[in-house]
Amino acid sequence: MTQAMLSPHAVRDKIKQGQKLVLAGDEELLRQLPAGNWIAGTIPYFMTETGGQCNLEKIHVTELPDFVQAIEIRSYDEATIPLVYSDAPDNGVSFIIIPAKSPVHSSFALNAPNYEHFAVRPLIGWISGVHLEEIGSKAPKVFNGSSAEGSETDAIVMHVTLPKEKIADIGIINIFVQGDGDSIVFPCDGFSADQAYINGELANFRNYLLEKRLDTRLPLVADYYGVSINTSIREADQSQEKVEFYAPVFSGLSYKHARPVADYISKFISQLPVGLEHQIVFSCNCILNYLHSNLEGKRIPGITGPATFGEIAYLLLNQTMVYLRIIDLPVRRGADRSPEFSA
Amino acid sequence: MTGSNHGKKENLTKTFDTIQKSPEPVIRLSREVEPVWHDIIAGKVNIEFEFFAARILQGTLARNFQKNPSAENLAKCAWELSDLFRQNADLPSVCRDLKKILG
Repeated sequence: MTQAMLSPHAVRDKIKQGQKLVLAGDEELLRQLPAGNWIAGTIPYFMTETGGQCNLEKIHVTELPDFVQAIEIRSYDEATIPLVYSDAPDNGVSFIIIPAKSPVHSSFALNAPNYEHFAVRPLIGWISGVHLEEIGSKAPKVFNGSSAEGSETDAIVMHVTLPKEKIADIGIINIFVQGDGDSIVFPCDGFSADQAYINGELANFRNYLLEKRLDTRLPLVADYYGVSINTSIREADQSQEKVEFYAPVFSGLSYKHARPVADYISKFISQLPVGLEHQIVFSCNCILNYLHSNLEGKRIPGITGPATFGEIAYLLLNQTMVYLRIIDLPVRRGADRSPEFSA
Repeated sequence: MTGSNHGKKENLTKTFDTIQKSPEPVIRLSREVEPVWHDIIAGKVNIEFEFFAARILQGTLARNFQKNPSAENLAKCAWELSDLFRQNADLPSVCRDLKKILG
């Protein structure tokens, strides 16, 4: 399993060799690739071995190892995305890339926890994007390598089957925690909100943000039954009637504005489990962390991958790094992975 | 870990090995759902899971149960959470979590 920043020419060679690839890069580069065993999403921002960079000349490549038993590439639209977990192999991992602002993006973000087999099968991926100067003028896309065609509406998924002696493990690194401020509860689920209960009292949420002068570079953090889940604020200016988010807020959860972080990289490194940087086979981090923490040119040892418009570890996340590890299972005499017998 | 092969291979390439599972004793769950799973969903037992998928699913199911606190829904949610552990019994984090749950 390797990750690298490669030229389109080098990627083309790997595709011709039949390698199974998960790619990230600028649309013009991805359009040059031939059909093969790959999926891709558009994004020009990356964390690399030499530091964070905007790169319009190279493609980030995650090459799946030879022990992978099978792959299946499928596109999902708004109607079929609820099947994404059901379609996954019994033992494997599925890579998903969704174009930002597409209907399937909204649908997945709001409804994934209700999909059949949610979280039972590992699903990891990201939301594709564009260069920040092209937001609004160019649509983020994903590519189905089977046909080498792009889409700005559908999600693309590579379902990967692993041998029985290996198992996928997904984790996250989220440096943000709830601050000591007000409790914020939203009356309904959605990518935007005009009202919220602030410490139990209904208020205009945009006015609340402006009056409190909250730093909108910091996310709202929900305590999702023990897991800190971020929702990043997209727009909260005077011209908007409501506040827009990069991921949905969910009704009934108690959010708080995140505690400020003085030094992103130090905090991030302090949260890395020992040795993780050598175990990650795929990871991506959020473009907002890249921007707000000035990661361009800065290196986080061992951590590479696209800087994305949203991260997926079973469900959509914001301002979070998600990662995949593959674990070797020991051989046990007389034991298989059947869950059918009890101890 | 089976030794880290990481390093520069070609053009900033980083290579990883899979990691070796520590020899944790694997607990195989029966298909019968023990009462503790109901208690976890209902919030009567609080366990901070190490297995990330379990933390996410527990949150989703607890939220689901709050919206529909029927006995039937509790049984369904408890089954879903226990089934996640059943299907991932080999993961080291699951082994450690099951020790916390089942003692």
